[in-house]
Parts: sequence; C-alpha cells; structure tokens
Amino acid sequence: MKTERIQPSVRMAPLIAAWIGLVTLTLVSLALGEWFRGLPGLLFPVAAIIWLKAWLVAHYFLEMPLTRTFIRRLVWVFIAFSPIALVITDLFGRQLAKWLQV
Amino acid sequence: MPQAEESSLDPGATETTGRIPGNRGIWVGIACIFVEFAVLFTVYFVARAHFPEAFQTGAERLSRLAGTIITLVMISSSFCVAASVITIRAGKRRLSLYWLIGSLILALGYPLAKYFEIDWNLAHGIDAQAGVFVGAYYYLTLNHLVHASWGILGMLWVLTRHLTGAYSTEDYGGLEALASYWHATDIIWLVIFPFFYVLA
Repeated sequence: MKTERIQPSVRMAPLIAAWIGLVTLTLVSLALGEWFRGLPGLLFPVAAIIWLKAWLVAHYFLEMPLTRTFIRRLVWVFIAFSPIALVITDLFGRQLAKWLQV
Repeated sequence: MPQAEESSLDPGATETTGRIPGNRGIWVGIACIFVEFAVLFTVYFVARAHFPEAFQTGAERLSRLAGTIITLVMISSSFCVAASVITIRAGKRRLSLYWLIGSLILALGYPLAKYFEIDWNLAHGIDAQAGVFVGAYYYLTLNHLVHASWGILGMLWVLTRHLTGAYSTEDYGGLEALASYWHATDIIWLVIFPFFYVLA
C-alpha cells in the first residue's frame, strides 16, 4: 500500500496571521454589538463571526486539514452547531418555545 | 529545509488517513467536552427562545471589558501554545519553552479577570438570582472556567516536563495534546463570548 508522510507546519507566519484575524474579528463583533444594538439583523454577522473565529483556531492552531477524518468532523460539527442554532432560535424562537413547553 | 524534514519525524504523523494531534486520549476528552458544551448551549438556546427580552437586554448589564479581556487572553494564550508546538517541531527547544511560559502567563490572566468580573458583578447586583439571563451566564461561564483551570493545571505539568527536557523534535506528543485541549477550550470561549457580551 502506498503511504505518504504528513508533514505538519513549522512556519510561524500562518499562526501570526490567524491571531491577528482573531483579534480583529473580536473587535469587529464588539463594534457591531455597539453600533447595531437592538437591531434584529445583528444576529447574522455575529453568528458568522463566531463560525469564522472558531474556524481560524481549528484550521491554523489545531491544524485540522492534517487530522484524521473523525477528529475533523467532530470539530467542524461543533463549530457549526452554535451559529446555526443561534440563527434558528432567533428566527423561530416563538415556535420553538411552544414546542418545548412542558 | 532541514527543519521541515525533522517535522516528518513527528509521532502524530501517520499515513494518508491523517494524523492525531497529541494522542487519542486527549481527543476522547475533547469529544466529551464538545458534547457537554453542546448540551449546555442547547440549554442556553431553549432559555433564549423562552425569554427573548431577557436575553436582548442582558448583555447591557455585564462588563463588556471583562469579556473582551478574557477573549484576548484566550486567543493570545492559544496562539502562544501553538507557537510552542511549532518551535519544538523545528528543533528550537528553548524557544518552545518560552512560548509555553508565555501561554501560561496569559492563561493565568483568565481566572484573574474572572475574579475581578465577578467582584464587579456582585457590586452591581448581578448575582445568581438576577434572572434567567444571568443564571445562564454564570452556568456557562463558570463551567468554562472549570475546564480552563484544568487546562492551566495541564500547562503547569507540561511545562515541568518541558523544563526537564521531556520533549524533543521526535517526541512532543504531550505538548501537542495540551495544545489541542487548550485550543478546544478557546473555541468554546469564542462561542460563549458573543452569547453574553455582544448580542443585545
């Protein structure tokens, strides 16, 4: 069977770029929260930023592209869960609350 | 590049199926933590669906500064531990040690910031009986703090081993396992942060 070695990175530049991206997105989300306080549309960019920040950590710090399929799927599913659930809760919150009422 | 060639000796490197960062055990733990927090997040979403007004006004009551400091501390500590892994791979043991010490110092900023945040909260009447939003906030953030504390203890252990020369270019699985756990803890905080400090 043909096998090939996977070589994890030894480069600092992608890590630094990811860190700058994470700090920037944190500040952007705070600014959005301040500028668009109370507006229903705020939810969508905030959900997108949650996903993007988690993706940056997973892709560059956890090196997800090099990992086994199970680990990769576990992380991607977890990262996608909250932004999707957040959008669903805010769009269909009333219906959800009715269904979940005991 | 000799450094890149050295990295192919990494213990986590496997065949085309992909590698396991750190070791299997840590990923069993991370999977359990992801499931645990998925359940906790579901509780948050159910509460948010039932009490939308409380969650829309809740963020105004909390200290946004404390939330931002914790986020920047977590992001930077996570970056430092990733840099520690990269540098040990490249054969720069001493530099890897410095990055790990930096990561630990930053990580200690989290419980410190949390202490001052809770102090500020209590001074402003934000205790466990201050409504459903604050209840969910304490429930999720204190749970995260417990997990982060385990990570800090793990960091102390890995630092001790690193100081005694336990890690090298050929064998750094323990350091990478800690890094994986810390990155997972970071991801969870990045989800929690906008829930309580941004969305209003």
